[in-house]
Amino acid sequence: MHIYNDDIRREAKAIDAEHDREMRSTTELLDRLFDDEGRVSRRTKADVILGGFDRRRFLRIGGLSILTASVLAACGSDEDATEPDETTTTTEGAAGDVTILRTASSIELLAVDVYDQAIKAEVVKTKAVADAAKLFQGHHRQHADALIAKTKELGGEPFDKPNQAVLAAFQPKLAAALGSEAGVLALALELERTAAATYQSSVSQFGDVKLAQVAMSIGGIEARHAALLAVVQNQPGAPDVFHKTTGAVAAGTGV
Amino acid sequence: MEITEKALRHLVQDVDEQHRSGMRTLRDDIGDAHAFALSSRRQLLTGAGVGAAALAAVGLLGPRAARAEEVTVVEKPPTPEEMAAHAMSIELAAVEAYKAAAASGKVTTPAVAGAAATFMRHHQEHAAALGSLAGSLAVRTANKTLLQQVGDQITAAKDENAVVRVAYTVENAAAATYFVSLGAEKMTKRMAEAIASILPVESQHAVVLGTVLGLLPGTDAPELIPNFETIGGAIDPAKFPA
Repeated sequence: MHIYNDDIRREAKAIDAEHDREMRSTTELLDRLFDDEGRVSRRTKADVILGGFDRRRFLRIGGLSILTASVLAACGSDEDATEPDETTTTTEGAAGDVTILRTASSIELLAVDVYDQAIKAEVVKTKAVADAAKLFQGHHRQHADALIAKTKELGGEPFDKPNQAVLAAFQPKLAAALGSEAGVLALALELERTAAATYQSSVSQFGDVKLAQVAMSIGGIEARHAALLAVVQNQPGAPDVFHKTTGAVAAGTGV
Repeated sequence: MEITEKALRHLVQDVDEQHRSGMRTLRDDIGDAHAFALSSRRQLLTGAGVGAAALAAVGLLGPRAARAEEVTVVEKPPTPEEMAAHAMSIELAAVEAYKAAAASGKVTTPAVAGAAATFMRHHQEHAAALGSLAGSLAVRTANKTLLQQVGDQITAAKDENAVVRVAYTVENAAAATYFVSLGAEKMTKRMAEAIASILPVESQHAVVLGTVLGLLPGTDAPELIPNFETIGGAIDPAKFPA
Protein backbone atom coordinates (compact mmCIF):
# COMPACT_ATOMS: atom_id res chain seq x y z
CA MET A 1 0.00 0.00 0.00
CA HIS A 2 1.29 3.49 -0.81
CA ILE A 3 0.44 6.65 1.05
CA TYR A 4 1.61 10.16 0.25
CA ASN A 5 2.90 12.77 2.64
CA ASP A 6 0.74 15.52 1.16
CA ASP A 7 -2.34 13.32 1.42
CA ILE A 8 -1.62 12.59 5.08
CA ARG A 9 -1.36 16.28 5.91
CA ARG A 10 -4.48 17.06 3.93
CA GLU A 11 -6.37 14.26 5.67
CA ALA A 12 -5.25 15.49 9.07
CA LYS A 13 -6.50 18.98 8.28
CA ALA A 14 -9.77 17.56 7.02
CA ILE A 15 -10.14 15.44 10.16
CA ASP A 16 -9.73 18.55 12.28
CA ALA A 17 -12.32 20.47 10.26
CA GLU A 18 -14.74 17.57 10.37
CA HIS A 19 -14.25 17.17 14.09
CA ASP A 20 -15.19 20.82 14.60
CA ARG A 21 -18.32 20.36 12.49
CA GLU A 22 -19.27 17.20 14.35
CA MET A 23 -18.69 18.83 17.70
CA ARG A 24 -21.07 21.65 16.82
CA SER A 25 -23.69 19.10 15.75
CA THR A 26 -23.13 17.05 18.87
CA THR A 27 -23.55 20.05 21.15
CA GLU A 28 -26.73 20.97 19.34
CA LEU A 29 -27.90 17.38 19.62
CA LEU A 30 -27.41 17.41 23.35
CA ASP A 31 -29.27 20.69 23.61
CA ARG A 32 -32.19 19.19 21.71
CA LEU A 33 -32.12 15.92 23.61
CA PHE A 34 -32.33 17.70 26.90
CA ASP A 35 -34.70 20.37 25.71
CA ASP A 36 -36.55 21.75 28.73
CA GLU A 37 -39.88 21.61 26.95
CA GLY A 38 -39.51 17.80 26.83
CA ARG A 39 -40.32 17.47 23.17
CA VAL A 40 -37.90 14.56 22.75
CA SER A 41 -39.28 11.28 23.98
CA ARG A 42 -37.47 9.08 26.46
CA ARG A 43 -37.37 6.38 23.83
CA THR A 44 -35.57 8.62 21.39
CA LYS A 45 -33.11 9.80 24.01
CA ALA A 46 -32.42 6.20 24.95
CA ASP A 47 -31.98 5.19 21.35
CA VAL A 48 -29.48 7.95 20.73
CA ILE A 49 -27.43 7.02 23.77
CA LEU A 50 -28.00 3.26 23.55
CA GLY A 51 -25.34 0.74 22.68
CA GLY A 52 -23.21 0.66 25.76
CA PHE A 53 -22.13 4.22 25.90
CA ASP A 54 -18.66 4.63 24.37
CA ARG A 55 -16.98 7.58 22.75
CA ARG A 56 -16.74 6.13 19.25
CA ARG A 57 -20.43 5.30 18.94
CA PHE A 58 -21.33 8.60 20.53
CA LEU A 59 -19.27 10.46 17.94
CA ARG A 60 -20.88 8.51 15.14
CA ILE A 61 -24.41 9.04 16.32
CA GLY A 62 -23.73 12.56 17.40
CA GLY A 63 -23.27 13.54 13.79
CA LEU A 64 -25.57 15.46 11.58
CA SER A 65 -27.35 12.35 10.30
CA ILE A 66 -28.91 11.73 13.72
CA LEU A 67 -29.56 15.41 14.23
CA THR A 68 -31.50 15.74 11.03
CA ALA A 69 -33.19 12.34 11.29
CA SER A 70 -34.40 10.88 14.58
CA VAL A 71 -34.18 13.95 16.79
CA LEU A 72 -35.81 16.37 14.37
CA ALA A 73 -38.53 13.84 13.69
CA ALA A 74 -38.99 13.27 17.42
CA CYS A 75 -39.27 16.98 18.11
CA GLY A 76 -42.69 16.95 16.52
CA SER A 77 -44.26 14.56 19.06
CA ASP A 78 -43.56 12.56 22.18
CA GLU A 79 -43.84 8.77 22.60
CA ASP A 80 -45.51 8.44 19.23
CA ALA A 81 -42.51 9.87 17.43
CA THR A 82 -41.67 7.52 14.65
CA GLU A 83 -38.24 6.93 13.34
CA PRO A 84 -37.78 8.06 9.78
CA ASP A 85 -37.26 5.39 7.22
CA GLU A 86 -33.72 4.71 6.27
CA THR A 87 -33.25 5.79 2.75
CA THR A 88 -30.78 4.38 0.37
CA THR A 89 -29.72 6.29 -2.60
CA THR A 90 -28.74 4.57 -5.76
CA THR A 91 -26.78 7.09 -7.65
CA GLU A 92 -27.63 7.67 -11.24
CA GLY A 93 -23.96 7.02 -11.97
CA ALA A 94 -23.89 3.57 -10.40
CA ALA A 95 -27.20 2.50 -12.00
CA GLY A 96 -26.00 3.78 -15.38
CA ASP A 97 -22.77 1.83 -15.05
CA VAL A 98 -24.70 -1.35 -14.33
CA THR A 99 -26.84 -0.78 -17.43
CA ILE A 100 -23.72 -0.38 -19.55
CA LEU A 101 -22.26 -3.62 -18.17
CA ARG A 102 -25.53 -5.49 -18.72
CA THR A 103 -25.67 -4.27 -22.30
CA ALA A 104 -22.08 -5.35 -22.84
CA SER A 105 -22.61 -8.85 -21.46
CA SER A 106 -25.69 -9.26 -23.65
CA ILE A 107 -23.66 -8.35 -26.74
CA GLU A 108 -20.92 -10.78 -25.80
CA LEU A 109 -23.46 -13.56 -25.48
CA LEU A 110 -24.96 -12.54 -28.81
CA ALA A 111 -21.49 -12.91 -30.32
CA VAL A 112 -21.13 -16.36 -28.74
CA ASP A 113 -24.45 -17.32 -30.29
CA VAL A 114 -23.59 -15.98 -33.76
CA TYR A 115 -20.21 -17.73 -33.82
CA ASP A 116 -21.95 -20.90 -32.66
CA GLN A 117 -24.34 -20.73 -35.59
CA ALA A 118 -21.45 -20.04 -37.95
CA ILE A 119 -19.44 -22.99 -36.65
CA LYS A 120 -22.42 -25.34 -36.84
CA ALA A 121 -23.19 -24.20 -40.40
CA GLU A 122 -19.83 -25.73 -41.38
CA VAL A 123 -19.34 -23.32 -44.27
CA VAL A 124 -15.94 -22.09 -43.06
CA LYS A 125 -13.51 -24.41 -44.79
CA THR A 126 -10.21 -22.59 -44.16
CA LYS A 127 -8.74 -24.21 -41.07
CA ALA A 128 -7.08 -21.06 -39.72
CA VAL A 129 -10.35 -19.16 -40.05
CA ALA A 130 -12.36 -21.97 -38.43
CA ASP A 131 -9.84 -22.09 -35.58
CA ALA A 132 -10.03 -18.31 -35.17
CA ALA A 133 -13.83 -18.45 -35.01
CA LYS A 134 -13.71 -20.98 -32.19
CA LEU A 135 -11.04 -18.93 -30.40
CA PHE A 136 -13.04 -15.72 -30.72
CA GLN A 137 -16.20 -17.45 -29.51
CA GLY A 138 -14.26 -18.57 -26.44
CA HIS A 139 -13.03 -15.03 -25.86
CA HIS A 140 -16.58 -13.66 -26.00
CA ARG A 141 -17.73 -16.23 -23.49
CA GLN A 142 -14.95 -15.16 -21.12
CA HIS A 143 -15.82 -11.52 -21.70
CA ALA A 144 -19.45 -12.22 -20.84
CA ASP A 145 -18.43 -14.05 -17.65
CA ALA A 146 -16.22 -11.14 -16.59
CA LEU A 147 -18.96 -8.59 -17.24
CA ILE A 148 -21.54 -10.64 -15.40
CA ALA A 149 -19.22 -10.87 -12.42
CA LYS A 150 -18.60 -7.13 -12.54
CA THR A 151 -22.30 -6.40 -12.71
CA LYS A 152 -22.88 -8.46 -9.58
CA GLU A 153 -19.95 -6.77 -7.87
CA LEU A 154 -21.65 -3.43 -8.44
CA GLY A 155 -24.87 -4.76 -6.98
CA GLY A 156 -26.68 -5.06 -10.28
CA GLU A 157 -28.74 -7.86 -11.78
CA PRO A 158 -26.51 -9.37 -14.49
CA PHE A 159 -27.84 -9.92 -18.00
CA ASP A 160 -26.97 -13.44 -19.06
CA LYS A 161 -28.74 -13.83 -22.40
CA PRO A 162 -27.94 -12.80 -25.97
CA ASN A 163 -29.18 -9.34 -26.81
CA GLN A 164 -32.39 -9.89 -28.74
CA ALA A 165 -32.68 -6.31 -30.00
CA VAL A 166 -29.22 -6.40 -31.57
CA LEU A 167 -29.84 -9.92 -32.86
CA ALA A 168 -32.99 -8.65 -34.56
CA ALA A 169 -30.88 -6.02 -36.31
CA PHE A 170 -28.42 -8.68 -37.50
CA GLN A 171 -31.08 -11.27 -38.33
CA PRO A 172 -31.73 -10.24 -41.96
CA LYS A 173 -28.03 -10.67 -42.73
CA LEU A 174 -27.53 -13.79 -40.61
CA ALA A 175 -29.32 -16.30 -42.79
CA ALA A 176 -27.52 -15.11 -45.93
CA ALA A 177 -24.17 -14.95 -44.15
CA LEU A 178 -24.36 -18.55 -42.99
CA GLY A 179 -24.42 -19.69 -46.61
CA SER A 180 -20.71 -19.15 -47.27
CA GLU A 181 -17.32 -18.60 -45.64
CA ALA A 182 -17.18 -15.09 -47.13
CA GLY A 183 -20.60 -14.34 -45.68
CA VAL A 184 -19.57 -15.54 -42.25
CA LEU A 185 -16.37 -13.47 -42.35
CA ALA A 186 -18.24 -10.32 -43.36
CA LEU A 187 -20.82 -10.75 -40.65
CA ALA A 188 -18.23 -11.54 -38.00
CA LEU A 189 -16.26 -8.42 -38.96
CA GLU A 190 -19.35 -6.25 -38.61
CA LEU A 191 -20.17 -7.81 -35.26
CA GLU A 192 -16.65 -7.30 -33.89
CA ARG A 193 -16.55 -3.69 -35.08
CA THR A 194 -19.91 -3.06 -33.41
CA ALA A 195 -18.63 -4.56 -30.17
CA ALA A 196 -15.36 -2.60 -30.25
CA ALA A 197 -17.22 0.66 -30.93
CA THR A 198 -19.61 -0.05 -28.08
CA TYR A 199 -16.82 -0.52 -25.55
CA GLN A 200 -15.08 2.65 -26.68
CA SER A 201 -18.36 4.54 -26.42
CA SER A 202 -18.93 3.22 -22.90
CA VAL A 203 -15.77 4.94 -21.67
CA SER A 204 -17.51 8.29 -22.17
CA GLN A 205 -20.61 7.10 -20.38
CA PHE A 206 -19.34 5.43 -17.24
CA GLY A 207 -19.97 7.35 -14.05
CA ASP A 208 -16.95 5.61 -12.53
CA VAL A 209 -13.94 6.29 -14.74
CA LYS A 210 -12.21 3.22 -13.28
CA LEU A 211 -14.56 1.06 -15.35
CA ALA A 212 -12.85 2.37 -18.47
CA GLN A 213 -10.06 -0.13 -17.90
CA VAL A 214 -12.57 -2.95 -17.61
CA ALA A 215 -14.19 -1.87 -20.86
CA MET A 216 -10.95 -1.51 -22.80
CA SER A 217 -9.54 -4.79 -21.50
CA ILE A 218 -12.25 -6.23 -23.75
CA GLY A 219 -12.69 -3.47 -26.34
CA GLY A 220 -9.05 -3.78 -27.36
CA ILE A 221 -9.57 -7.47 -28.05
CA GLU A 222 -12.70 -6.91 -30.14
CA ALA A 223 -10.58 -4.47 -32.15
CA ARG A 224 -7.92 -7.17 -32.58
CA HIS A 225 -10.62 -9.65 -33.68
CA ALA A 226 -11.82 -7.10 -36.23
CA ALA A 227 -8.27 -6.47 -37.48
CA LEU A 228 -7.62 -10.15 -38.16
CA LEU A 229 -10.99 -10.65 -39.84
CA ALA A 230 -10.35 -7.59 -42.01
CA VAL A 231 -6.88 -8.77 -43.06
CA VAL A 232 -8.27 -12.20 -43.97
CA GLN A 233 -10.74 -10.40 -46.26
CA ASN A 234 -7.99 -8.23 -47.79
CA GLN A 235 -9.20 -5.13 -46.03
CA PRO A 236 -7.05 -2.74 -43.95
CA GLY A 237 -6.64 -4.13 -40.46
CA ALA A 238 -6.17 -0.69 -38.91
CA PRO A 239 -8.20 1.60 -41.17
CA ASP A 240 -8.53 4.59 -38.83
CA VAL A 241 -6.04 6.89 -37.14
CA PHE A 242 -8.31 7.04 -34.13
CA HIS A 243 -10.75 4.25 -33.42
CA LYS A 244 -14.37 5.26 -33.93
CA THR A 245 -17.59 4.68 -32.03
CA THR A 246 -19.61 4.38 -35.24
CA GLY A 247 -22.21 1.66 -34.85
CA ALA A 248 -21.92 1.49 -31.06
CA VAL A 249 -24.93 -0.06 -29.34
CA ALA A 250 -26.57 2.40 -26.98
CA ALA A 251 -26.49 1.41 -23.33
CA GLY A 252 -29.76 -0.16 -22.29
CA THR A 253 -30.63 -1.50 -25.73
CA GLY A 254 -32.26 -4.87 -25.43
CA VAL A 255 -31.68 -5.23 -21.68
CA MET B 1 -28.58 2.38 32.57
CA GLU B 2 -28.82 5.99 33.50
CA ILE B 3 -26.65 8.86 32.46
CA THR B 4 -27.15 12.46 33.25
CA GLU B 5 -27.02 15.36 30.87
CA LYS B 6 -24.02 16.68 32.79
CA ALA B 7 -22.13 13.42 32.30
CA LEU B 8 -22.88 13.42 28.59
CA ARG B 9 -21.68 16.95 28.15
CA HIS B 10 -18.50 16.11 30.09
CA LEU B 11 -17.83 13.19 27.80
CA VAL B 12 -18.28 15.35 24.72
CA GLN B 13 -15.92 17.93 26.15
CA ASP B 14 -13.45 15.17 26.99
CA VAL B 15 -13.43 13.96 23.39
CA ASP B 16 -12.92 17.46 22.10
CA GLU B 17 -9.96 18.04 24.41
CA GLN B 18 -8.41 14.72 23.41
CA HIS B 19 -8.72 15.59 19.78
CA ARG B 20 -7.13 19.00 20.17
CA SER B 21 -4.34 17.57 22.29
CA GLY B 22 -3.64 14.98 19.63
CA MET B 23 -3.77 17.40 16.74
CA ARG B 24 -1.12 19.58 18.37
CA THR B 25 1.46 16.79 18.02
CA LEU B 26 0.16 15.30 14.78
CA ARG B 27 2.27 17.44 12.52
CA ASP B 28 5.48 16.30 14.23
CA ASP B 29 4.28 12.71 14.31
CA ILE B 30 3.65 12.72 10.55
CA GLY B 31 7.11 14.09 9.97
CA ASP B 32 8.65 11.31 12.05
CA ALA B 33 6.58 8.45 10.74
CA HIS B 34 8.02 6.37 7.90
CA ALA B 35 5.51 3.57 7.77
CA PHE B 36 2.07 3.50 9.25
CA ALA B 37 -1.43 2.44 8.31
CA LEU B 38 -4.03 5.10 7.67
CA SER B 39 -7.63 4.42 6.79
CA SER B 40 -10.16 6.85 5.39
CA ARG B 41 -11.10 10.00 7.25
CA ARG B 42 -14.55 8.62 8.06
CA GLN B 43 -13.07 5.42 9.46
CA LEU B 44 -10.73 7.40 11.64
CA LEU B 45 -13.61 9.40 13.03
CA THR B 46 -15.99 6.54 13.57
CA GLY B 47 -13.76 3.58 14.13
CA ALA B 48 -10.70 4.74 15.94
CA GLY B 49 -11.73 7.89 17.67
CA VAL B 50 -10.58 11.33 16.67
CA GLY B 51 -7.29 13.04 16.59
CA ALA B 52 -3.78 11.88 17.01
CA ALA B 53 -4.35 10.72 20.55
CA ALA B 54 -6.82 8.15 19.33
CA LEU B 55 -4.56 7.15 16.49
CA ALA B 56 -1.73 6.63 18.93
CA ALA B 57 -4.02 4.62 21.18
CA VAL B 58 -4.65 2.09 18.46
CA GLY B 59 -0.99 2.06 17.49
CA LEU B 60 -1.42 3.72 14.14
CA LEU B 61 1.20 6.38 14.62
CA GLY B 62 4.89 5.99 15.02
CA PRO B 63 7.71 4.56 13.00
CA ARG B 64 6.41 1.03 13.05
CA ALA B 65 2.96 0.10 11.78
CA ALA B 66 0.70 -1.78 14.15
CA ARG B 67 -1.01 -3.39 11.21
CA ALA B 68 0.28 -6.35 9.25
CA GLU B 69 0.14 -4.45 5.94
CA GLU B 70 3.35 -2.68 4.98
CA VAL B 71 2.90 0.90 3.86
CA THR B 72 5.41 2.90 1.92
CA VAL B 73 5.32 6.63 1.66
CA VAL B 74 5.94 7.37 -2.02
CA GLU B 75 5.79 10.12 -4.55
CA LYS B 76 2.45 11.19 -5.92
CA PRO B 77 0.91 9.28 -8.83
CA PRO B 78 1.18 10.92 -12.27
CA THR B 79 -1.31 13.56 -13.31
CA PRO B 80 -3.23 13.16 -16.58
CA GLU B 81 -0.89 15.74 -18.15
CA GLU B 82 2.15 13.70 -17.09
CA MET B 83 0.59 10.51 -18.44
CA ALA B 84 -0.18 12.26 -21.73
CA ALA B 85 3.39 13.56 -21.98
CA HIS B 86 4.80 10.07 -21.41
CA ALA B 87 2.46 8.55 -23.97
CA MET B 88 3.38 11.32 -26.41
CA SER B 89 7.07 10.47 -26.04
CA ILE B 90 6.29 6.83 -26.83
CA GLU B 91 4.26 7.78 -29.90
CA LEU B 92 7.13 9.96 -31.13
CA ALA B 93 9.53 7.05 -30.54
CA ALA B 94 7.25 4.84 -32.64
CA VAL B 95 7.34 7.46 -35.41
CA GLU B 96 11.14 7.52 -35.35
CA ALA B 97 11.28 3.73 -35.23
CA TYR B 98 9.22 3.42 -38.41
CA LYS B 99 11.42 6.05 -40.05
CA ALA B 100 14.50 4.05 -39.06
CA ALA B 101 12.91 0.87 -40.37
CA ALA B 102 12.21 2.51 -43.73
CA ALA B 103 15.71 3.99 -43.86
CA SER B 104 17.34 0.63 -43.01
CA GLY B 105 16.60 -0.70 -46.48
CA LYS B 106 15.52 -4.02 -44.99
CA VAL B 107 11.78 -3.56 -45.55
CA THR B 108 11.35 -4.39 -49.22
CA THR B 109 7.85 -5.84 -49.54
CA PRO B 110 5.62 -2.99 -50.86
CA ALA B 111 2.59 -3.95 -48.75
CA VAL B 112 4.74 -4.05 -45.61
CA ALA B 113 6.41 -0.74 -46.43
CA GLY B 114 2.97 0.73 -47.08
CA ALA B 115 1.59 -0.50 -43.77
CA ALA B 116 4.65 0.86 -41.95
CA ALA B 117 4.20 4.29 -43.53
CA THR B 118 0.52 4.32 -42.57
CA PHE B 119 1.24 3.29 -39.00
CA MET B 120 3.93 5.96 -38.73
CA ARG B 121 1.34 8.61 -39.72
CA HIS B 122 -1.09 7.19 -37.18
CA HIS B 123 1.51 7.57 -34.43
CA GLN B 124 2.24 11.16 -35.52
CA GLU B 125 -1.46 12.00 -35.13
CA HIS B 126 -1.62 10.20 -31.79
CA ALA B 127 1.34 12.25 -30.57
CA ALA B 128 -0.32 15.48 -31.65
CA ALA B 129 -3.55 14.59 -29.86
CA LEU B 130 -1.67 13.68 -26.69
CA GLY B 131 0.23 16.93 -26.94
CA SER B 132 -3.05 18.77 -26.52
CA LEU B 133 -3.79 16.77 -23.39
CA ALA B 134 -0.29 17.23 -21.98
CA GLY B 135 -0.55 21.01 -22.22
CA SER B 136 2.62 22.70 -20.98
CA LEU B 137 4.19 19.28 -20.35
CA ALA B 138 3.98 18.30 -24.03
CA VAL B 139 7.28 16.90 -25.29
CA ARG B 140 8.94 17.58 -28.63
CA THR B 141 11.25 14.60 -28.80
CA ALA B 142 10.89 10.86 -28.85
CA ASN B 143 11.34 8.79 -25.71
CA LYS B 144 15.11 8.60 -25.70
CA THR B 145 15.50 5.29 -23.87
CA LEU B 146 12.88 3.52 -25.94
CA LEU B 147 14.22 4.91 -29.20
CA GLN B 148 17.75 3.84 -28.34
CA GLN B 149 16.59 0.30 -27.62
CA VAL B 150 14.41 0.01 -30.70
CA GLY B 151 17.00 1.69 -32.90
CA ASP B 152 19.63 -0.83 -31.82
CA GLN B 153 17.25 -3.70 -32.54
CA ILE B 154 16.47 -2.40 -36.04
CA THR B 155 20.17 -1.94 -36.73
CA ALA B 156 20.83 -5.51 -35.59
CA ALA B 157 17.88 -6.95 -37.54
CA LYS B 158 18.95 -9.49 -40.18
CA ASP B 159 16.02 -9.14 -42.51
CA GLU B 160 12.55 -7.68 -43.08
CA ASN B 161 10.88 -10.14 -40.73
CA ALA B 162 13.22 -9.19 -37.90
CA VAL B 163 12.41 -5.51 -38.42
CA VAL B 164 8.68 -6.27 -38.48
CA ARG B 165 9.13 -8.25 -35.27
CA VAL B 166 10.58 -5.13 -33.59
CA ALA B 167 7.61 -3.05 -34.73
CA TYR B 168 5.19 -5.79 -33.60
CA THR B 169 6.71 -5.74 -30.11
CA VAL B 170 6.55 -1.93 -29.92
CA GLU B 171 2.87 -1.88 -30.93
CA ASN B 172 1.93 -4.48 -28.33
CA ALA B 173 3.97 -2.58 -25.74
CA ALA B 174 2.18 0.65 -26.63
CA ALA B 175 -1.24 -1.02 -26.29
CA ALA B 176 -0.23 -2.48 -22.93
CA THR B 177 1.04 0.91 -21.75
CA TYR B 178 -2.26 2.57 -22.55
CA PHE B 179 -4.12 -0.25 -20.87
CA VAL B 180 -2.07 0.10 -17.69
CA SER B 181 -2.56 3.86 -17.62
CA LEU B 182 -6.35 3.45 -17.66
CA GLY B 183 -5.99 2.11 -14.14
CA ALA B 184 -4.05 5.16 -12.95
CA GLU B 185 -5.24 6.79 -9.76
CA LYS B 186 -5.68 10.21 -11.35
CA MET B 187 -7.21 9.06 -14.61
CA THR B 188 -9.80 11.48 -15.95
CA LYS B 189 -12.68 10.87 -18.33
CA ARG B 190 -11.09 13.10 -20.97
CA MET B 191 -7.82 11.17 -20.86
CA ALA B 192 -9.67 7.83 -20.78
CA GLU B 193 -11.63 8.80 -23.89
CA ALA B 194 -8.43 9.67 -25.72
CA ILE B 195 -6.83 6.38 -24.71
CA ALA B 196 -9.95 4.48 -25.75
CA SER B 197 -9.56 5.92 -29.25
CA ILE B 198 -5.84 5.09 -29.50
CA LEU B 199 -5.38 1.76 -27.69
CA PRO B 200 -7.51 -0.21 -30.19
CA VAL B 201 -5.47 1.21 -33.07
CA GLU B 202 -2.14 0.13 -31.54
CA SER B 203 -3.72 -3.28 -30.97
CA GLN B 204 -4.79 -3.45 -34.59
CA HIS B 205 -1.29 -2.40 -35.73
CA ALA B 206 0.07 -5.33 -33.74
CA VAL B 207 -2.35 -7.78 -35.35
CA VAL B 208 -1.54 -6.58 -38.86
CA LEU B 209 2.20 -6.90 -38.22
CA GLY B 210 1.60 -10.27 -36.59
CA THR B 211 -0.11 -11.55 -39.75
CA VAL B 212 2.90 -10.31 -41.78
CA LEU B 213 5.04 -12.50 -39.52
CA GLY B 214 2.70 -15.41 -40.19
CA LEU B 215 1.59 -15.60 -36.60
CA LEU B 216 -1.68 -17.29 -35.81
CA PRO B 217 -3.88 -16.42 -32.83
CA GLY B 218 -4.15 -18.92 -30.04
CA THR B 219 -1.31 -20.94 -28.62
CA ASP B 220 0.98 -20.09 -31.56
CA ALA B 221 1.25 -16.45 -30.52
CA PRO B 222 -0.95 -15.78 -27.49
CA GLU B 223 0.00 -12.11 -27.40
CA LEU B 224 -1.40 -11.60 -30.93
CA ILE B 225 -5.02 -11.86 -29.77
CA PRO B 226 -5.25 -12.68 -26.05
CA ASN B 227 -8.58 -13.08 -24.26
CA PHE B 228 -8.16 -9.71 -22.51
CA GLU B 229 -5.76 -6.85 -23.09
CA THR B 230 -2.72 -7.37 -20.89
CA ILE B 231 -0.18 -5.29 -19.05
CA GLY B 232 2.69 -7.46 -20.26
CA GLY B 233 5.37 -5.39 -21.97
CA ALA B 234 3.95 -2.06 -20.82
CA ILE B 235 6.52 0.74 -20.99
CA ASP B 236 7.33 1.85 -17.46
CA PRO B 237 7.68 5.65 -17.16
CA ALA B 238 10.28 5.16 -14.44
CA LYS B 239 12.54 3.18 -16.76
CA PHE B 240 11.57 5.04 -19.92
CA PRO B 241 11.09 8.67 -18.82
CA ALA B 242 9.49 11.09 -21.25
